[in-house]
Amino acid sequence: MVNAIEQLQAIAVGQSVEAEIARLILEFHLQYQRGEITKVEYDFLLLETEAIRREDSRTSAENLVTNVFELGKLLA
Amino acid sequence: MNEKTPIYTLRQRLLEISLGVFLLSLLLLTSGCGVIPQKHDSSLVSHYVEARYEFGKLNCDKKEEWDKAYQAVAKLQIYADTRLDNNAANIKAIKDNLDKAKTTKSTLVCQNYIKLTEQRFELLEKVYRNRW
Repeated sequence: MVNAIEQLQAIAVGQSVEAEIARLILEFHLQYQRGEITKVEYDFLLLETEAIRREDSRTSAENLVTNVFELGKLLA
Repeated sequence: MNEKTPIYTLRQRLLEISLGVFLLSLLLLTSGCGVIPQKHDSSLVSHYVEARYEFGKLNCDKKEEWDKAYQAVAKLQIYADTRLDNNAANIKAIKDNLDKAKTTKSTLVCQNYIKLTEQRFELLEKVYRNRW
């Protein structure tokens, strides 16, 4: 678990959505450890972070494809 | 001083890019993975701006004042569904998160869902900003 926290702390640097999600996961983990949120609430929050990470990958792909298509148009 | 020979001529470079664009297009058209680029849609962006503005005013201690944000997100969702926008699922998740934030009795959990939803809005902004 210590290793996982260290990895999250390394990702949590910067302004990207991925970094913000890592910061939020660490924050939720602390809240859970302090007993401020229940296990069920913690698990649901983690599920949502995973869904956002997947959406981040998809939108990055969409942006990349948009850029490639626009470059293609410039060639035409 | 010796002149260096260019590794790629302009013609080779253009041919490679064209081939890359063609293969990528073919892959996307056959995979149906929801990343096919869409054009800028000013009405969609307008709905997005309204939803984000109302979302920014949400306060977990004053849930009775959330109606405008709900309405703005609902309009954005209907518009995105109608236009078959690639991000319709993300917008639906924003609506679901609002529901979760509103129904929980814990202010902290409510704030957590608001923070997560903020990231979903960030993703929407990234995509809409990139469209031409």
